[in-house]
Formats: sequence, structure tokens, C-alpha cells
Amino acid sequence: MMDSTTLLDVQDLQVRFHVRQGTATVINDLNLSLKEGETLGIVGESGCGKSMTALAIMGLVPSPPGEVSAGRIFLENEDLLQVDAKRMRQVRGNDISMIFQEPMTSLNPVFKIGYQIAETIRIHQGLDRRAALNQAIEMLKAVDIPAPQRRANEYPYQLSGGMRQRVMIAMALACNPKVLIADEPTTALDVTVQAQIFDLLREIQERNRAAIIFITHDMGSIAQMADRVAVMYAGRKVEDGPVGEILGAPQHPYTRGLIACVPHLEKKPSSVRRPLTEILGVVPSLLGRAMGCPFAPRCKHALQQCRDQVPPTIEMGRNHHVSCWLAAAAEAAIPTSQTVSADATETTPPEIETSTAAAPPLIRVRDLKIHFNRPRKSPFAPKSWVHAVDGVSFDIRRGTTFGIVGESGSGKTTTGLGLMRLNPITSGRIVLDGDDITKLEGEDLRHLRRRMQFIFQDPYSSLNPHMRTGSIVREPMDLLRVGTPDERDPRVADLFGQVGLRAEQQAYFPHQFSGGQRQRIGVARALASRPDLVICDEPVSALDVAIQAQILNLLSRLQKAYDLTYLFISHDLGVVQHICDEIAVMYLGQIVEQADRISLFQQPLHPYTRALLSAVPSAKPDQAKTRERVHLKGDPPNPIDPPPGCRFAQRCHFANSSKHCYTETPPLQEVAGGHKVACHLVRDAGTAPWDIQG
Amino acid sequence: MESTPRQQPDDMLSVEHPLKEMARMFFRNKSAMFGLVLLTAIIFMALAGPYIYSIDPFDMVWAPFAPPGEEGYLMGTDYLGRDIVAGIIHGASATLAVGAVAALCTIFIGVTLGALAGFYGRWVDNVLMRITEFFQVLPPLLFAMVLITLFSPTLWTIALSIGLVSWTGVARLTRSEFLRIREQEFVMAARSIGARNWRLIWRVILPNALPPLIVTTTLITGVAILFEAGLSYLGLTDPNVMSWGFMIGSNRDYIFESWWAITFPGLAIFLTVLAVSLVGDGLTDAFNPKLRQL
Repeated sequence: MMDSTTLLDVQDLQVRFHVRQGTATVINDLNLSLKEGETLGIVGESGCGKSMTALAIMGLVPSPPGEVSAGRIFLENEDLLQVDAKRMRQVRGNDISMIFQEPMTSLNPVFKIGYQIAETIRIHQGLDRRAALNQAIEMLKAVDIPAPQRRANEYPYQLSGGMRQRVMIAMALACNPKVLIADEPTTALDVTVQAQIFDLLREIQERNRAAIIFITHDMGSIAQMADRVAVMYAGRKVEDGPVGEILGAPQHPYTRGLIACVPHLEKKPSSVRRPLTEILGVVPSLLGRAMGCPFAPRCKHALQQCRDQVPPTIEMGRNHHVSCWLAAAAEAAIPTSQTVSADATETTPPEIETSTAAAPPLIRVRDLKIHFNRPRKSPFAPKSWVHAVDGVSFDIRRGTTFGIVGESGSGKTTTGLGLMRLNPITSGRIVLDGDDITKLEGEDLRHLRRRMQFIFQDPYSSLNPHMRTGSIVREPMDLLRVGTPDERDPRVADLFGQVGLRAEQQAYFPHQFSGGQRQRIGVARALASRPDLVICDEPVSALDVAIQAQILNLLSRLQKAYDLTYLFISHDLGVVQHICDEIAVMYLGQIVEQADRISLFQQPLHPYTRALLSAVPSAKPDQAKTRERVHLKGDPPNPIDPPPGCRFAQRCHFANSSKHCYTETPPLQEVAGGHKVACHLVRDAGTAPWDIQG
Repeated sequence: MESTPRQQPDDMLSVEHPLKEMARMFFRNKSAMFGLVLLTAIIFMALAGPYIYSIDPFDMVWAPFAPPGEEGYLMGTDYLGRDIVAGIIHGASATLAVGAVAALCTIFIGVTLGALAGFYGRWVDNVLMRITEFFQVLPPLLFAMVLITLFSPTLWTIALSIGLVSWTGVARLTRSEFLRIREQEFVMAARSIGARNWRLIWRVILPNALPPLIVTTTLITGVAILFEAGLSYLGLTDPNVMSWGFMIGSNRDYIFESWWAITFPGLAIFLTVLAVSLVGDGLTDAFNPKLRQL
């Protein structure tokens, strides 16, 4: 089993949790191996055991209630499940170290950065304070942190999210580990920062010959980072193989579904939009004894055998294994086509055509500014404002979807809340269907709510835990006096049906639903008052990809059924390309580019848009490594004191003082039919310096 | 985490009235029921006891310092030969009244100010918190003593004074809960469907802030009873009303001659506080939707 270069070998691992309701097997019969210098990607939905695998390897399974009930984990020739606690502490940090998902909370806020890294070095390598601190500064340099001497003396709150993740990586690498486990290391970061972190990880791997276990839910990141991929479902590995084969010719229905349900960013989006393929249902409960293939209840191809017996693991090619009865029975049972778009495993609803272009605008926004007053440290300190939204204008045509994309801090959510008049507006005008709603107050403002509704990002905190879901959906009708009281209960039941829930589920509390179901309740609540405009603020970013596809399809279907107009706010360009008709790209409170979905992706003009597009990892294995990449340096500047001139100039490769990039703010100008861009360097489509350079 | 099962209920169930459902949850909880029975018994003793056991607690019925059981006096007599059992029974109503009134007063002032400060923030918060701090920096016992001497020590002034000096903690707790819950998306969601501020405060945020408030209230009831005992100990008490605190206070000098004269009222206070906290815990659980599984 072990050949000379195998570094880590996980054999028949089983992890169980003993909880009040019974015993849950969260990892079952897991086999993984990792060679020197290799990156193994682990993908799957949440609750499939990815993170638990990492914790098991680190010897950190919370116990009780958890327990590693079977299996062996060899690091070189040592079984980590047999060693004592003292040895395990040496292994952790020294031989195996881990990077966590949330850089904002994984650093201790009360200690300086340098001290935190030096502590690891002191413990494991026995260096004295001074030597350890010097090495910590070296580590900060190694992860490309500018001015490492100064940064070592700062506290975590003084660093941006991307910087903190670099510090986490520096800490993980401090003792030159053989294995690095990265658990969703970029999920909490913006795409441009994600690209920087990926580069850093690859560079470090080359330098140190470290093996990486890369855990993610995103197929694009897998394509960028991994050499081999293991797909996990409900605690089991269902497929593994080289990254090209897994992404290009996936065998297991679950792998196919995972790849097909993500709206991939296309360079030339087609004008006809197909609904996303969905994987029905949710990840099953892991309680009790598992019968058959865990995926069988969600699999369209499932045979009787699938429900009764655990499928065998079959070799499909060199190092490519799949655990599926269909593959075992006959390889012809599943069409082994290269394209995974229209597989019968998933439901494919009928096509949606692009909305008509001639519809009149439902809402017009002119020069919207939202500035927040910052609390002053003393009454004598000068006043300062956060320029969250700084002069934004757009129209949304009736029945269409207008997308706003941008990184965190770009002001997209603030714009959405401002439109709803849930944020105070500093200046500008908002006209809804001919009525100026900028200055509405009191009861008039309440009545506005009937015409405009909001779908929130986090399905876990946007529903009041003390209300039954039926009352949650009924509440807007009661408050806004929609229909007569007798009509409301039947309408609630009808809405539940519309969003794909059963009417009797009204009696349950929010915590009794899964994330996707809760988001459906959020959608039903938004539709209860029969609004014209629905503002969707990152409605799918907190959901697993399979569930994301279900919600996106639901939104498309409802739009068509009720002639809804959407303002769709997202950081995910693939999702935006899929669902929006017209898209505005925001940067630091301003729109830098705005166009219809086809021209924006075919011919992005603004350097920021181009950088953003190139930073999105593609899940197409052939594209993943060949695509041109525009890398941005640094982080977005602070919106408190935005730089004069073009706000992007500091990070722009083409910024040019002779073109006034640093002194004058470029206006948003139309360069081609409906394609607007705010850049001094773009006069009309096709004359930008980067196009000439080729 | 993987270990939490997802409820996928399939059967049709009609919606119960929330209060009825809470009652059902409460009655299922054994320790809460024990607390409720105990509290009911104490209240019953306070209301009906004096008619059943009609010995006047201020009467000298037997020799002083008689130990428990002597001459049929189950808990003995105190330094003036007063019957301790009579004191416990006749003192219950005053003690409970002080505890309840003080707790209600505390909750009323504390929750109102805390909710307004936490919800509105800005200058409202500033003004209300400065007022709270003003009350906080005064030593509560001294402040209560001043209030009681100003208004002459009757049961009412004692109860209200105790309430007036102990609401600050509740106000701070309510404020911090409001500050936390205010930022949750469901509050923004309620605003987005046209809920007025009044509804946001009382119907949306407050129910979510209740669990720690209920626990604090039950503790405050106990503290108020002990506070009254402390004031009695200092002689600040209505001399015409028997209370458990009064009994402890007046017998304080004879603790070595007659331990029973303070032990029994002390036990009575302990049982009352225990009953109130058990009921409070039961209410917290009954109010938690996560435990109200169908």
C-alpha cells in the first residue's frame, strides 16, 4: 500500500458521533493517500465530512461526542491514531498544520501578529524569543506581506481579510510542515484576493515540497489547485481520481451533479439561458445505520440494489475510482459523455428566454449617495464619513434582472438597502414607476414596502426564530393590509406551494428547516405583498451549490410567473451571468462598468472588470491553467477617505498620470450600445490600451 | 455539524395557540413542575395559613429560647417567646409581596429603559445610560436606606425602594441583548415588510431577548427577599408587619442562644428562591422554539 513517496495514508477511517438521538457515522470507510508535493482536493456539500476528515488527521475530533472508531492514519510510517497525546502535539504544527476558513476569527485579537507566529516556532523548535521573532518576520516576508517588520508589530484588527489569511498561512508554515491542510482557505475572501492566496499556496508548495490537502466546495478552486480530487458524500468517498478526469469525465452521478449545477462563467455567454441542472433534495441525516448507497435517494438512476447494498469501489482508470452500482453493473448504464450539461441525473426544467429589451424602466436611480457618519473619538475630532455609495445611477427595466457585482465593501448591499429606504440616503433620487420615493416618510414609506421587497443573504438569521414559518409569510400581508384577512391564509398556503414547500410545513419553526428551505421561506415572504421589484441580496451565497441551483431556478420561474423585476446583488460572477439581463460592476461605491450580460462578459472594458473576470477560477480543466490572468495587487482602498481621481487607479496596471487617472474621477460614459464604462483610458469600445497590447 | 439530525416531519399538524403550547411544554418539565408545586404551596401558606394557624406571631406564647418541638411549638420560640411557626406562616405574604413587587418594578424599569436605549441608540442611548450609571454608582443598600427613611418604612416603600435600586443590571442586560439582536437580519426583514418601531421592539426583538431576562428576574426575586431581610437586620422595616427578613433581623443577636430562630426563616427564603428559579428555568425552556419540537 505504501510506496516510497506516500506521505500520508488514511485507511478505512471511520468517525462516529454519539448524540442524544443516536449514533451518527460522519466518516465511513474512508481511504485517502497523499504523496510528497501533491495537492489532494476534497469536495462535497456541507455535512459530507470534509472538515471532519481534516480534524481526524489532526487528531482534533471533538471527543466526546466524537470518536475515531476504526481505521489507521499513517504519516510516513507512524500511525497517528496510536501515538500518545504528547507525540500528537509535536506532530500538529510541526509535521501537519492547518489553515482555517475564517481568517477573521482564527487569530487571537489580543496578541500581536509577530508574537503569535513566534509562539508556534518557540514551542516546536525551542528557539528563544528573539530568534523566534526574527524567524516570524522571515515567514511574513515569505507570504508576501509588505513591510513585515512593521506588520509583525500590529494586531489582527489592523489587517485586511486577505492579509490575515496570509498570516495564518505563515503560521501554518512556520515549522515547515510535511502536510498542510487548507480547509476552505479562501471561501471568506474576495475573488481577487483568492487568486493571490492560490498563487501563494502554489509557490510555497514548490519551494517546500509540502503536500496539501485542499478542502473546498468550489469546483473552480479545485481545478486551479488540485492534482487529484476526492469527492465526498455523506461521510463516504464516492469518487476520486486525477483532477482532469474528475472534472472532464466524472463518473459518479453526484460528481456530475456537483459540476453541472454550478453556473460556470462563460467567456461568450449564449443568448438563450437554460435553467441550471439541479440535484434534488438535501444531504441525508447521518444518524443510524446506513443502508445502501447514501446518494441513492437523490439519484435519478438509482436501482433497487443501490438502496440495499453499499456500492463497491471500482477502478475506472489509472488512479480513478468510483463507488457506484451503476458503474459496477455496466459502464454503459450511465452515458459517459464528456459534456455534463444535460445529464438525466438532474432535472432539467424548460428553457427561459432572455427578457425583451424594450420594457420601460420600473425604477430609476440618479446619483445616489449614501454616506455614513463615523463615530468620532472625541467631540473635537473632525467629522468623517464612510462613502459607502458615492454617486450611482441606473435604470431597471420592468420584468428584467439587473445585477450588481463587486467585492466586499463595494457598496452593493448598501445600494440595495438604500433603494428599499432601509438606509438613510445622503443625496440623489429614486423614482419607482413615476413616483419619487427618495423622501417618503412614515405611513407612505410603509406603503412603499408593498411594491418593493427584499430577499436576505443569510437564511439562518433572516427568519425570526420565535415565529412559525406560516406566520412569517403571513406577516407582511397583515402589516401592509394586503387583501382581506380571509384571503391571507389560503395565500400563505399557495405561496408555500409556489416556492416548493408543503402547506403543512407552515406549522414549523425556522430551525426545523434546512438552509435551502429557509431561503424558500424568505422568497415566499418577499412575494407575499405582491411586489413589483424584489431586491435579492446575495440570496444564494450562503447555500451549497446543489441548493444554490434550486433557488436560482426558483427565482427565474417566479420572475416569469409574476412578471417580477429583480435587483440581484452578488459577488459571484457565474451566478450573475446566469441570472441577470443587465449588470453593473461596482468598485468602492461607484459603478465602473455597466452593460448587458453578453457584451460585459464578451468584451469587458474596465481594467477592474477584466481583473475580476480573470480571477474567477474556471472549473473547465482545459481552461483552468491556460487562461490569461490579470492580477491585482493589494486590497481595495478604504472607503472612508477614497483616493481622489479614479478609485481604481492605485491598483490599476494601466493608470497613467498624463491621463489624469490620479486626479479626475472618470464619468460613466456610454461607449457602445448600452455599454457604459468609467475609465479615462477607454474612449470607445476597442481603443483601450490593453486591447492594443493584445 | 454532521451530528445534528435534520427534522423532516411529514405529518400534518394543526397549530396550537402559543400560550397553550408553552403550557404543555412547561407541564412536561419535571423540575419546573416541582418548582411550581413548591411555589403554589408557599403562596397557599401565605394566603390561607393565617386563618388555619391563627396564633399571632407577635404574641409571647411560651418561654423564650424554647428549642424546636418543646410544648408543641414545632420550630421553637425566639428571644421574646414568639412562635416561629406562626412567624413563618404569617410572614410569608409580606415576604412574597416584597419579592414580587420589587422584581416587577425592576423588570418594568430595566426592560423599558434598556430596550429603548438599545433599540434607538444615539442620544437616547446616551441619556438613558447616563441615568443608569447614576443609579449604579450609588451603593444600593445605602440608597435604599435613604429612600425608606424618607418615606417611612412601610411594606410598599420597602418593596419599591428595593426595585428602584436594583433595576440597573436588568437595563444593561436588556440593552446589550437589543444591541446584539438588532443587527440580525430578521429585524431588517421585519422593517422591510413595514413593521413599526413599536412592533420591532416588543414583538420582534424582545421575545428573542427573553431567556436571559427571565433567568435574571428569578434571581432578582430571590435577591429582593434577601435585601428585605438585610434591611430588617438594620432595623429598617415595618415594625407592624411580620416577615421572614424581620424574623432574621430581630433574632440576629441571639444566634448562639437560638439557632432555630434564624435557621427556619432562612430555610423558608431558600425554598422560595429555589421554587422561583425552577419556575423561571422552566419558562425559559418553554419559550425556546428549539425545544418546542412538534
